[in-house]
Amino acid sequence: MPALPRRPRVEILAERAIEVLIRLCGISAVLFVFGIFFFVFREGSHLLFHGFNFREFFFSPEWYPTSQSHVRYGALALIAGTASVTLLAMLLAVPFGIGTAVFISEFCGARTKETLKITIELLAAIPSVVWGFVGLTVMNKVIIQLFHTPIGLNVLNGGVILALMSVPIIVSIGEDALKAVPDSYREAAIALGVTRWQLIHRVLVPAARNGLLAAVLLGVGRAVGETMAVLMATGHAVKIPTSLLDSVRTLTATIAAELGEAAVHSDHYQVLFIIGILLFTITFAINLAADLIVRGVRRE
Amino acid sequence: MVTPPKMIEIRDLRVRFARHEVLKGVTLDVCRNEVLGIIGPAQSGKTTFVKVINRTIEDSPEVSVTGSVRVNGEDIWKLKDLPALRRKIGMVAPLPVGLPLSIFDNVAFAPRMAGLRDRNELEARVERCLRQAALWDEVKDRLDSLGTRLSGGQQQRLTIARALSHDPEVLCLDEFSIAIDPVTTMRIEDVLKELRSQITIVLVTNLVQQARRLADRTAFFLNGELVEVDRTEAIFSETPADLRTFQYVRGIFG
Amino acid sequence: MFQATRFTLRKRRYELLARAVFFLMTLLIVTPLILIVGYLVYQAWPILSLDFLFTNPRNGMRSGGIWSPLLGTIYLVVISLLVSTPIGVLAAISLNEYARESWITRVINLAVVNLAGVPSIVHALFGLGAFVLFAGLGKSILAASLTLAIMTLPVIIASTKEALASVPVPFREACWNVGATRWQTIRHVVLPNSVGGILTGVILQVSRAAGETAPIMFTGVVFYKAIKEGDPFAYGLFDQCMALSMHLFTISTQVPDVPKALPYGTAVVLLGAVLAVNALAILVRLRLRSRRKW
Repeated sequence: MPALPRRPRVEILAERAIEVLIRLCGISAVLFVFGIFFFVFREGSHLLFHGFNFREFFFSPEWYPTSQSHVRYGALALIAGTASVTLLAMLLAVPFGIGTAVFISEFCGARTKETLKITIELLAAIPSVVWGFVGLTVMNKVIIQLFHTPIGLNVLNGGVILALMSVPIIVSIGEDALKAVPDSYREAAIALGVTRWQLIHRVLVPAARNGLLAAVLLGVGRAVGETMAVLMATGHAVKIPTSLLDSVRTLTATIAAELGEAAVHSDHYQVLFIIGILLFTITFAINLAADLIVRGVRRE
Repeated sequence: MVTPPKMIEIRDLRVRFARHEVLKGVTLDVCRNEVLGIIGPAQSGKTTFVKVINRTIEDSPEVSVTGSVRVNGEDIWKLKDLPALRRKIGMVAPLPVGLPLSIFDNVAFAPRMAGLRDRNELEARVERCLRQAALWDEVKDRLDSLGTRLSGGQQQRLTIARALSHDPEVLCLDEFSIAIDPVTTMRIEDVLKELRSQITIVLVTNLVQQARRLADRTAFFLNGELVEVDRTEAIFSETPADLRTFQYVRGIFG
Repeated sequence: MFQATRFTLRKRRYELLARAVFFLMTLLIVTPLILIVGYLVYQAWPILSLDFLFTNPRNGMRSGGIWSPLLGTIYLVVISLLVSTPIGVLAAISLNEYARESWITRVINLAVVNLAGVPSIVHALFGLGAFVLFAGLGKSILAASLTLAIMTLPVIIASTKEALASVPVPFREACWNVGATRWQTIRHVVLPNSVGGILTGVILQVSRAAGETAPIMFTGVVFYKAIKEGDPFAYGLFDQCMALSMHLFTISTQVPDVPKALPYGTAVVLLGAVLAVNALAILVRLRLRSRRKW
């Protein structure tokens, strides 16, 4: 039988070229993460190293970037705004999210499971500006009606909207975590005669706790980083909230609201980039923590 | 150039996965056109051994390989063209694998990747290999159907056809019968008997009797060491060189 | 005979209670979706029509339609995905098919996960600093699209990796055994069987790119820009443009005296497009499952 021919030269060269391209793209993700940090840092770095008042930034609630006489960059109120809205959102989203994850994982037949998972996916797909719009119109009216306040754009509004936005990620990762618990745990517990509730509360949740914790962390990361929805739903008051019905401004909303008006490379502009660095660092830390926790699960 | 008498020459082969030494200094020759049987209990390094020959061992994590391996006189570690080496060695894995392509494309895959594009030559090659693997009659009317839909025994024969499709000089079979029925096993053994005059065969097997049936010489591996290698009759006789061979062959351990 | 004891009956009641509680929790999350969509459609009804889609906003955006934002969004989505899909797929191939387990791969995986978690406003800042200013592209469709591309990249990498990993390893080994190179194996066996999963991932990012506002707000999208109605080539790469998401934000917060139905109509079109695209991705995924080749 005739011997096999050789591969055409062109083909071999093309293959080598593609493999180079592949390797380049492989390191691209790292490049882009560093790139993001680098370029955001770059725009705020001058001020950061030349007289940035860290004390004022972190501890003063007085945010007056456009004042003619006395410019102040105290971001405490903004930090409090982000924290309050995120906290409320998590207080709502975590129990409901994990509850739904439990329901999907333990109480559903295959058909309902599929339908519910699709619904949650569609919920996750709703753009943040649409959520913001909902907060601006629907939630606004509801809050005004229920609480008789003059405006309904406040911590409560933002918190509820943010909760609805964070739930899908908690449900989906939480459900994965529960699915990863081996069936042998369930079988052993049932053989001992426990109720469904005991099974969930004493066996499954503890077994899946790392994955569930990671799910919550990622939900927090989502909430902290959200921009448009909170911009539209929490009002525009830069002050530390004392009640759920107070309007606030978050770190993210501040950047979005003020970047357009700040002159490029001005102090105000640079401070906004510094807020960006802060946000990047916070979400980076959260993602790192979630990743380490999940890694810990895999080792078990 | 004088053709070297030995097909494969191996000197002091050591393979380690991280800390664990899997092959501990194996020295062995494979003669041209012989059937070399390799027997031994599980975890004795047999699979690792054949994976060294076609250099697929390099894909395992944290592996380190030392020692000299020559195929047809050439040092395989110095070869630039790895696919060419792998085409010289046909490999049949323990678990049958049908690629998710048509049966025709399964067998035509290797020649195509090597550069053969002519349809007529491909068809001739596919038919020849399927006939040699004793699969042609069963699939000749459905060469377009998916290779993954064949039975285990058929997929193993398909793997043999694939292995033959690139004109190998050595055919390595690693416990090929482990997942297939006895009838197909016998058919494949007949195939090997037909092939033995044309190519060199390295037959790793956990079925001691299979080595007895097919192999000219047999090597006994135990815990990563080559205990002994000799003519098959000697290995299975009352007086092999090593007591452990005697015991293993008679099922006293293993 | 098995007679239910008092203990068993109590257990059963707790079971039902637990089931009811979890069911209610789920219901509480699922109903908003339905209510929101319903309410938005109801409020937008008077204004929804084909005309709405193909007319420009008029009269200071107090009347007219959404043609220029709609076209702008289409441009942004198409260009950003033309950039991020090839890079993302090749990156995933690199990570799943070529990389050895080592600290480098772990760093890269960490980078991908972190890139996915970057807040959208930080993407905006990055786009401003890198594409608009440093690369000198100015505020343009190109800069905005590249910013969106970086945003969608990590998810495309992750979903492609998953699709590649679902092809069993024995197939690859069988190919290597017969002398195929790594690339040949990928090109002829792994990729063709991963296309569905890759497609699903890309489609999902379409909806994400269409819905985001912050990354494009400062990199090339503006409040208002007049373009020729009905002309699909009305925008140029270095032009600024309008976008649906930004338009919704503008007319619901920046423009006074907008008739009620207008922002609702915009929201419905945006939401409808996003949900339709996601539904398409889900259909693709379901169809995939039934056409598996092994």
